[in-house]
Amino acid sequence: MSNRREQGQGPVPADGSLYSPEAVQDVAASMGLPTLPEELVQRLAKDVEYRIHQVIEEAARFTRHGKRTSMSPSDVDQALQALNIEPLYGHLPHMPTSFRRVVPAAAPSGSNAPRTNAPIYFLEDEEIDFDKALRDEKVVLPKMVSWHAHWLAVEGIQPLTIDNPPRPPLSEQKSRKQSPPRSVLAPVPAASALQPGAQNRKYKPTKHVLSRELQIYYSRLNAALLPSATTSAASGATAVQPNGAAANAAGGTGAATATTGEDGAQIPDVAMQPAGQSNAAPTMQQQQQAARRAAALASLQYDAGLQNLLPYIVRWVGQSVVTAIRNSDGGSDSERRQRELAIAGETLEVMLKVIHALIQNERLFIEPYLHQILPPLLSILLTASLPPSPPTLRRDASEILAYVSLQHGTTYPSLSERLTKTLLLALLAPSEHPVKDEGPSKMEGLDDEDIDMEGGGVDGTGPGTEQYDFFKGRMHGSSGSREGAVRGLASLSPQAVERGLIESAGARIIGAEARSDQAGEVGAVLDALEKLKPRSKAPVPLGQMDSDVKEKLEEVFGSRFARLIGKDGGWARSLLGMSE
Amino acid sequence: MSATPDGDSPKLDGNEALVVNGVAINKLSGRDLDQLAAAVLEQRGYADIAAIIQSRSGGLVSGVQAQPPISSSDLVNRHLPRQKPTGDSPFDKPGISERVAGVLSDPSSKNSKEARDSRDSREPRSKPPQSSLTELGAATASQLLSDDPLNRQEAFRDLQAWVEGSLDMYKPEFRPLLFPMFVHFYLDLVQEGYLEGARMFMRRFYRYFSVNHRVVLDRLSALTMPIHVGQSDLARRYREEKYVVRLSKSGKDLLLGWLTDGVGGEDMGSGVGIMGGERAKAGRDQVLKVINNCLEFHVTSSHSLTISPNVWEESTGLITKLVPSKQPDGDGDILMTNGTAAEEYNASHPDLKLGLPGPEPALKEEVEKALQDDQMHGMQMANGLVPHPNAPDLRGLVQPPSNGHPVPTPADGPPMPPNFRIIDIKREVERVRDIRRRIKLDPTTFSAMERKEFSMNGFDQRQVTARQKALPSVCCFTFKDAPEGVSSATFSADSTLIAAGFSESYIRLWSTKGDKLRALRSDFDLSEVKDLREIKERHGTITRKLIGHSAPVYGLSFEPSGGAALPPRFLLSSSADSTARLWSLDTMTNVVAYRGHSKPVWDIEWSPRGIYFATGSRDNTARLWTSDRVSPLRIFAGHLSDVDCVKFHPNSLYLATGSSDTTCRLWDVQSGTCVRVFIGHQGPVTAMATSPDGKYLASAGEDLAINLWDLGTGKRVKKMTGHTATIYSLAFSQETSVLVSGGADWTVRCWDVKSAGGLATKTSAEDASLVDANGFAKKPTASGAEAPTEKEEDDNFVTRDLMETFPTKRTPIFNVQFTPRNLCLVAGCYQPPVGEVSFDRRV
Repeated sequence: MSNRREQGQGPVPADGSLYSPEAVQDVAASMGLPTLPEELVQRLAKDVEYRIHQVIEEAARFTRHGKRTSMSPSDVDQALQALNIEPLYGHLPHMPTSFRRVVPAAAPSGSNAPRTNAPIYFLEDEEIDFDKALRDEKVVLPKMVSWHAHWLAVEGIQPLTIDNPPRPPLSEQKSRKQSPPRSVLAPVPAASALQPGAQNRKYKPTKHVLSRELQIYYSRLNAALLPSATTSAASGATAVQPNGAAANAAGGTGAATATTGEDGAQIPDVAMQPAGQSNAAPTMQQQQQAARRAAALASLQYDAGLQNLLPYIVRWVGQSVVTAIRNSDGGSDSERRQRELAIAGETLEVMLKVIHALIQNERLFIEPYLHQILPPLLSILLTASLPPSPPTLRRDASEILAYVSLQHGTTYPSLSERLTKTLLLALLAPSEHPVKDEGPSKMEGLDDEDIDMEGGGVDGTGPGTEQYDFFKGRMHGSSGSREGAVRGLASLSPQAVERGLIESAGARIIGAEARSDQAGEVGAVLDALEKLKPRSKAPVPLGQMDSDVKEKLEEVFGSRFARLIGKDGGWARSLLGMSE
Repeated sequence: MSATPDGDSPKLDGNEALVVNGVAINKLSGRDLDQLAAAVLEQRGYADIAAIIQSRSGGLVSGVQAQPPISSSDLVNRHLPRQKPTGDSPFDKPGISERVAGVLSDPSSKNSKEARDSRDSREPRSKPPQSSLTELGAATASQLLSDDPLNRQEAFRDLQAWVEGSLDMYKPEFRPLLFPMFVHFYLDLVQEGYLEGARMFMRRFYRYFSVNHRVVLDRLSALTMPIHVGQSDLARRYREEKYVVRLSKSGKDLLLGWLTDGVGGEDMGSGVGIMGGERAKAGRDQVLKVINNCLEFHVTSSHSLTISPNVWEESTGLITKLVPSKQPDGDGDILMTNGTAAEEYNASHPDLKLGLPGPEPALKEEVEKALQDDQMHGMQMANGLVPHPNAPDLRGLVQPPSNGHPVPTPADGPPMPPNFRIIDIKREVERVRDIRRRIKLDPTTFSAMERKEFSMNGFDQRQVTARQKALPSVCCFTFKDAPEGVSSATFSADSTLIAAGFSESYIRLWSTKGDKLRALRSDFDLSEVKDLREIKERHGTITRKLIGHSAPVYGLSFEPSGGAALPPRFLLSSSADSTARLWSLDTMTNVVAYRGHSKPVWDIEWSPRGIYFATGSRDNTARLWTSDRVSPLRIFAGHLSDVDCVKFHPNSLYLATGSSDTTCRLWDVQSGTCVRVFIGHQGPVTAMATSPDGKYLASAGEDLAINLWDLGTGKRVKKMTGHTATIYSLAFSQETSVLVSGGADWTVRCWDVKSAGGLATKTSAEDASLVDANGFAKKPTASGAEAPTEKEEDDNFVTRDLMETFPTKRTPIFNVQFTPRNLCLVAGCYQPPVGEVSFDRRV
């Protein structure tokens, strides 16, 4: 059959036809017709091409009526049947045949064919070992067809549920007057990944591409906000604390280190201080740092266009907080330790400011990230040991928490309820028995089901998958976490205070366990109670006559607070709901 | 030089194995083999290939022939296939202008004998269409030799240049000329064996036509051999039918001028540029030949600019055969006035009884009584005996309001059972209740302006109310985990059941409420059964699988006789195995298989009151059946291609069919005649809906347009565009105010039926010049230089009456339906993303 090829063209004819005469010759040869005249071959090839078109045309009808947009082998089968041709067996639609492409090697020298090296496609015939197949292969029944009903539109308005595709962003609507068909058709991976029952489908992870400008912005932001020696301190901490958690923490800040380091190299005007010099830093540099920090925070608070960066900033905040809290744990009194504590405190303070700025920014759509912002906030609020340096950390955190619950309480009615629950747990946790798993599990409740996370996981491995194991094993009612819980409750609502301190007898517990009247939690409780009912302007201590009030106070608040509150008789009465 | 195997049959050996055409073969070798091949080929109609083999095996020429297969005499013969002996032609020696005048004769000026002659001459010409070209003095061998593919290309380019160089006001009416000319030149080239030339010709002009004619071009480019031209349906239609082109009077004169003298079109320098006068003239003669043979001009008196693009769309193309031929009237003198053939045909059936009859008097009485009882009861429940001041009289709703068309009497329609049953009362009562409780959809206050603002600025109370008034609530049923695909889906009228037909030949039923479906048992003792409920299955299943078909199920329809009051008892299905099947929903089994169609049955629908149903099939017919007989009652034949969808008129008197021949027709169910033809789609019709008020038909085609037709006049009301992929289903709201469509572009769209529509573009004058003769494409065909950017185009093809688009997540919508209370139910099958699939069909 080779001598024919001397006149033959390549397998893909140059004249625009699809089926090459050579293919006809190959088929003829395989059927035992070795020599067909060239003219005949040419004509047969053309005819075959026409017949193929004919079949495809017929199959297209079946595709259309099968309401599909791509032709399946069964359509071709149906078409062949309709044209009264024997169907092709062995091509099943659910087992898509994959053709292998092979570029033939140069013709052996013996043959006289100057064959073009056109690729050949063939079906791979897999060899299956029977024993192995019988032993290993388990036939998995496919899931049965099911349906799911949802509202595509309610009175002409498409509800923004996970069943419906997300509305195209505002900018796109502006550029095109109507929601464009293309954008509708374009796959929306972030949202479709959330489709219920999506677990059994495999989605390709999509890459979230940040523009170069945003990347630079991000690295500069890091450099400006973080206390300059953090990086070195963090790595130092790794060396000091050889426990397992520290390695994790180092990994978290490692990324930040890398980015800041790079940035320092690229952009000389962001002055990077060499590690170890921060103690002796001249005031000049401190001032610069403060100015930069203020500028960065202002940018976060007022700039538009940070939406793309949001997941990254949120994740960075979470990681930084976790690291800082870890670093402030433990109690050696070395100087190095002191420095670390100072840095951790500074970091936490900055992070609170960052969260505050993000929440304040009106141009950011922060709702999907609430579940990631709340854990660091609560960590700061409730952690047992905070660095001592800025004493207002818990107070600030509670204020931000109050703002969040006020701002988003309307869209997520269960938000403040859940927050209250978490805070109550922290408040009432018994001091002797550590509640190891209580904290994190409650936090998970906040994570997923509560908050509709549109675009939450921008990247499967990216932000959002971090687990916060804050106060793990440390939530045994330390004074710090109790103070935080009380402050948090006070910031949420008076009802929460009442529930926590009076109904659940939180005040009694604190009163019984506080070391002194000067302890932070005692002050917090008094502050909270003050929120519940204002103190009287001219405090008159309870006299001998008010023994019933005193008894009631003892009963409700415990002895310590009975004494403290008792200093203001009017206040005590109003707290107890008694008239003068 | 045909092969005659008997003539030189090879020597016969003793043991014969196979005899083909008298050629006995016992050994497959050498000459015998060639003989066999030749015989087979000839049998199949490949005479010339057979001849080659014959000649080769006969030893005339051994090896491969170096000579081209077409000899010069062959060429002449082939080139003049239509030539008849001279003498009987009416155009013996007239000048060109006279002949042109004959062809282009304006029938309204039937002043002369000449016009009559030409009309007479049309008859013989159409049988063996004869070329007058060769009778010219110059038509000799020399001309034939110059008649190579390039020559045709140049001739076509000349014509194109002339059309594009003509005044703007004439362009829209000349442009439609180009496509048939192109097709015929191409077919000529293929038929003469100039495959290379044909391919080149196709490549050169593909882009120019691809906007509107891609499908045709793709199908034509599959033709590779002369014999295919005779075998392809499409090519045959172009060869055998006249391509109708509308031309204004002045336009006709201009064309005439160009054909005779080559005047006009100087912009592109056509006349004298590339070819000399002689050759240009030869080219024009070729154009003339095609015009003579294959085109039909409808000369209108109206000015070209006053004709809307829609009219061009309706009146150009291969439409002669699409319109049924009329019964020969008295004189038979057909005058082309301003109307198109379809319009005339529709006008010949003036009064359709499109009115909606109410229930028959006895039934009506019962229904009214039931309603009154109902009302009294309700009042007692509410506040003693004091009649509610606002209580409307429901009885007024029993009779449907008049739609301005004559109301048919029961005798007009197909026979119905003489007595009504309780189910009928229940249905009618429920219908009236539903009318009362219906959500009214009123899009009049809903303007495009508001829509735009709405999508930009979120929620404004005023807009929200406008939307609530105008747009329906849509409930979407999404099928999941159906890898091979759902090919049809439907809901029952009472919305309790949903059925889906699968490519794997079975049907699945679910209850929309998630209830279990319980069938009747078959193992019972007949004597013990007092109530059918007793023999229901104890434990039903959530879904039932109905198995019976042997090919994909393409159509489903629930029996409607219970209306919204009762669950349906029967289900009809149609399948590619060319049967329709009736399923009992009591026993969940197949009851009857209706065989009659010879090809796949694409669609099936019950008539509005049950008893009858209609099917549409690949075998170009629609059929009317009754459920208790296995053979069809009527066969509606006339479509030139598949009947893709069928829909009953709400009064059961008429059946609408949509076909792949791009037309819709309306048939009189009783007489079986076609009473309306709707021409205007540029592709197969994929979905239809008849309006509940009985006045309109909506149809969707592969051209991605939805056309709204007035059934009374047969005219197109408007054309709605906006979908970007095939439209699978259409449905009217109960007041005929909103049309909902769903399709392969994963959207559900709501259209305002009553508003004017039209493309949302700039000035109409600019529009007219840009719109191609075929309407929807906004791309200027002249050159790529002025083509609009893609983005503009996206916006441009959306008409103003598109109220809202509801995108789904990757769910093509197979079925849209309105419940009697105007809730919209849609169903589709979720498509898991497999790779990039482009749905945008627009180039």
